[in-house]
Amino acid sequence: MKTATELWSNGRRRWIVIARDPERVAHLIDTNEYAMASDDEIVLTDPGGFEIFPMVFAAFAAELDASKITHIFASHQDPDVISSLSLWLHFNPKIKCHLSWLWQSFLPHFGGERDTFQPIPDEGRVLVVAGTTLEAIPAHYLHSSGNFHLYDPEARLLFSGDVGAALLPPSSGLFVTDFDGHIRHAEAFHRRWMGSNEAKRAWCERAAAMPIDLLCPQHGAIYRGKDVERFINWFSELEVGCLRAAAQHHEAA
Amino acid sequence: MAWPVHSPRAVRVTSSDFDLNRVAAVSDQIRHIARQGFLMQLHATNAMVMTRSHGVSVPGFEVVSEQMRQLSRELGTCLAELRNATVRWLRVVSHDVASARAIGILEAAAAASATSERVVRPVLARLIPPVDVDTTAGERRKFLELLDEARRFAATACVLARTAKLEATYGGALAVPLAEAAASFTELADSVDDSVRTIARRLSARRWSKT
Repeated sequence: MKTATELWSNGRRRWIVIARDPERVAHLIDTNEYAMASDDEIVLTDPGGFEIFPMVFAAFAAELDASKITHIFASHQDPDVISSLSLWLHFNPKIKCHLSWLWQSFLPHFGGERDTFQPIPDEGRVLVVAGTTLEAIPAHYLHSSGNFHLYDPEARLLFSGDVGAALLPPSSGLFVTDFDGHIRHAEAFHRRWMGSNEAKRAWCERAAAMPIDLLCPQHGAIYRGKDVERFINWFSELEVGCLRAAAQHHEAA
Repeated sequence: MAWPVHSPRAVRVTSSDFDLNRVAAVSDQIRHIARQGFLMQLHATNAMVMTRSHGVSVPGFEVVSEQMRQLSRELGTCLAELRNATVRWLRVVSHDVASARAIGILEAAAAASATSERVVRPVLARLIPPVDVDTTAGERRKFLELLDEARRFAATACVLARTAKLEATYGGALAVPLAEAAASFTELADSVDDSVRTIARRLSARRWSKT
């Protein structure tokens, strides 16, 4: 079963991560779900796929009350990100789902009503939830064409969706402890999934200017402290994008 | 603990009888009937053109052919309504299948821990319909009424085809081609009748009846 772990707290609100299911079936990619909870409201980020809902929910319910989820933040439109939406809506049909405007007519295929969806414009937006301000940070083409990350300035926590993701062996820890060893599991993923060097550079410049203590991807381990900066530097140097992948494929052929 | 992530279990949706495969099979039969109805109309028109172009008067056969054309048109209208009913029925079935899947997933979530059980049970209670509630009953009744109508058309077509066979014998020089046309009517009418019966059989296979 997945477990919920507290990442940050100031006494009034806290961030938890739901991660690491040792009994996960191998054909479903592992995901991390994050929740920012106050006494009255909960924001859930990338709540995961339909199939893994029982595992996510069980870990969530051990810590938090599902009926208090008022907002869901979807970094992008992928099924492992948000296909469980209709199930979460059973606990509070008034949940607002924030996502790129680009996907606002696509996501209803996973459930929800017209007023469930709160489109985020390309330039991003501030979300005021549970008495705090969260920022939807543009990360378009990393990897989705309509893609956002969620930043909590007080917690200095950046939920980074697929950026920073790594496809790790099953027994891996929740946090990055050996950056060089870890990043090997992230390299192929980033080279192929991240579609644009230009978008990557813009994101790296933006991220480097933000105070970040915790960089929290949807897959793999969480970067903290100096490893955040290491990751941004590593990513800025990495050649990514579809043209590169196509060229490699051509050479291989 | 191994999670039953691919087994929507304990599904108690009464309308789960109406599975998607069954709707798909019925849709195939409707398509087949529509094709036969179109051919029926085409053959009837051909027969009328044939008698008129040869200047031969076979009034009985012409009346039957005209009736056959009229019947084919009405059958077409009935089939269009049946298709609409199928789409509505399919919508209900799809919703039920999705609900059953959601119920299966939520039941797995409820089984995870005592806390989960306490939170998820009330949601499940809202989602799972009472055993005696059948959400598809209205659609099913409408569908069966339309099917009855199609069955009457098929029976009438069979009678008309037999009459055409008799009338063809008064066709003089055209007796042989008219007999062939009548044989086509019979074949097509039988095929339509057979398909309508097949649909009725499929629908009544498991607890399917109009009452």
